[in-house]
Amino acid sequence: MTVPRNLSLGLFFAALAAVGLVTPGFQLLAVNQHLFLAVNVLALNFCLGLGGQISLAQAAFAGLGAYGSVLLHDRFPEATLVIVPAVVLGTGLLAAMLSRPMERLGEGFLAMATLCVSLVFTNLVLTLETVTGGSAGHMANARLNLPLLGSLSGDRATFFCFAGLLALGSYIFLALRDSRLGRALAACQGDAQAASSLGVDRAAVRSLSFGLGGGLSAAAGVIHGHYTGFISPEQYHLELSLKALLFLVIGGPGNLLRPILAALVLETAMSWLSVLGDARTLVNGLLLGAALLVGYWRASR
Amino acid sequence: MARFLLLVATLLLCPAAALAAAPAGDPIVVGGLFAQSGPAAVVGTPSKLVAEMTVKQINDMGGILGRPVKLVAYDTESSPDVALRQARQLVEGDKVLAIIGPTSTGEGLAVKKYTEEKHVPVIMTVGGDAVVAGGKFGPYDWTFKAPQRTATAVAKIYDYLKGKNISKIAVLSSKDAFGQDGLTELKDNAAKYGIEIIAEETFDPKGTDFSAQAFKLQAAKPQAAVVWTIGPAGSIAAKNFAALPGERPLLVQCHGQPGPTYLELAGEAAGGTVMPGTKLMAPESLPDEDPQKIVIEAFIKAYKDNGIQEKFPLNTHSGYAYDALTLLRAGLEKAGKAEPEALRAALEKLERVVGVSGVYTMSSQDHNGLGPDSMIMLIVDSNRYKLAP
Repeated sequence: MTVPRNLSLGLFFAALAAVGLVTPGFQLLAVNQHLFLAVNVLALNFCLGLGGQISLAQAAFAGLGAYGSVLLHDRFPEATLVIVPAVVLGTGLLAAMLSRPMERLGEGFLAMATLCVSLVFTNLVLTLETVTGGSAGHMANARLNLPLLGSLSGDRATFFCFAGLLALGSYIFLALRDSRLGRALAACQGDAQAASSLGVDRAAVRSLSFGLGGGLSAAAGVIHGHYTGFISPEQYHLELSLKALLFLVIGGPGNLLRPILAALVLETAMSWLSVLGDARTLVNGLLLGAALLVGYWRASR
Repeated sequence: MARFLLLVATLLLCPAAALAAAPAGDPIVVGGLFAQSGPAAVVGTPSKLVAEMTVKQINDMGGILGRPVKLVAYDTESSPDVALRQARQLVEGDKVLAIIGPTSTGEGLAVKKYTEEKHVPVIMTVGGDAVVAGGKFGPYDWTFKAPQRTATAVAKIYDYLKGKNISKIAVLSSKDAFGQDGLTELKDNAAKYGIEIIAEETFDPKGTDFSAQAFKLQAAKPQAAVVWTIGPAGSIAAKNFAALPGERPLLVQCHGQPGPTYLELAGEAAGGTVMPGTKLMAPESLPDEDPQKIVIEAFIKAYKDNGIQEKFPLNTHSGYAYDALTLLRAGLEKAGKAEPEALRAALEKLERVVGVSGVYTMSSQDHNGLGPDSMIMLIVDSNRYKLAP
């Protein structure tokens, strides 16, 4: 396992691009849905892999991105260039602000608090029925409109958006990990009190990683919402957060490629398993169990 | 040569009638979307079995337009994203003529946007009205729905309450698409029937106790309380109301409840509750001149003979997949050819198609085609459903 990092990264994105160019449209939809999950796995990696903070709020951030962008586009269909950055930055900022008070919580309590963020988001969507359509959902008719490029639609364009987002996220992840900030984050993860006593502003650095993760999830949500054409609370429910956490744990938090690969490969495998009929749930469980064991075995070696 | 003779001999041995009825030519490929896993699986899994049973019946009777019908069905996992993925697989991969399903309203809306753009006729088996409501949910030219609308069930309930001289009601609805739909329709139609909603509460359908809401509603002193939810929450609400002290309002459940599970879970508390349901729930009460009687009796027999009854005891939702396929067959026969546009136009003009859930008469505005007369009011009496007096 001595493949240089840059080479393995290059190979991964080349393979991904090949998949995007070759796969027919309707099957690319499945790939895009898995990529949406993969971006969320990467987003969670910022919080858990770098900052050592468990988070179950990823679904809420993705949902905020999707709802924010779709609802704003309904009113201002031509303002994509303003709306998308505003929604992504806004969600990132919100995530960073939420992280500040939550940073003091221990691991178990932090998981509970972030879980509540997801639940609060769902309840908010249900309560603001007149704006969001409530649990019946909302049709997303508006498209993302970019100057020069025109309106963004279709499977292949969306695929490259997701792939681009994944590449951008990966770049930020690596740059952050190898920077002074990254080392401060690693120190917080190793021993929070020792890090504080060495002068690391724990709340600030951790809220940065939390905010970056939130913004990335929101960006994925923006693309996903407009692409699917229909948004409802069940698409951005706790299940998405749990899935992201599962694949991150399988691949190993802190590692860049393995969790993303785990999400893409295992999700694809599980969607093909529908041919098994009733036995599918069992095989899904066994597959995930085995993956977790492999991850654990590798980590403990 | 010997083989040829053998073939001729075999053909001669076949009963002539069977030969005449056997469908020939390319099969008409119909897509099926059913939630076979996830929260909606309780409705989706039996729906798929009923669809397979119905397709077999259609093929045994000579197919449609003399061609056999082939059903390609996928599991939507109760998720809008997966439903959309499977719908595209059906249309772009399997090249289906039309689709029946999916099971939940969220799945239906996600699929609808795509099938409307692609001009694929879809006959849905979802509970929510949004798929054929138009307005903010977009056009529904290619989308049809087999189960009764929420508004139809509301009209049935209000008619019944009016007959009982009840004018003050309380509403307890679940915080999901189904409950939201019910609450909206109950509110919108109340004035028309001279009914006043004096209190309303909502609850999480995954909750395990709604005593607080029930108590609060009782305090407003309504004559009847209407509970709008699907699944076990309805039974819990019935138990909570039954446990209240003092004078209790008449408990009315919605059309999502009738079935053996409600009786099982609510037990004693189910006694005396009334609810609208399809005629499937009380076939013995139907008069002989009811055109649905013969269809329902045949359906129940087939349901039992195919062993579905053992796994999924008959409930008010059981006939939807049968009805969707019956509508599809009627539409294709009216159109005279297996083409999407002709099928869509024919479906819109269907008149008096007798199904399990009702007698369908469609129009360009009404893509459901069922009225309050397709339902009956049921009352639970000694752990059985009977026609409410």
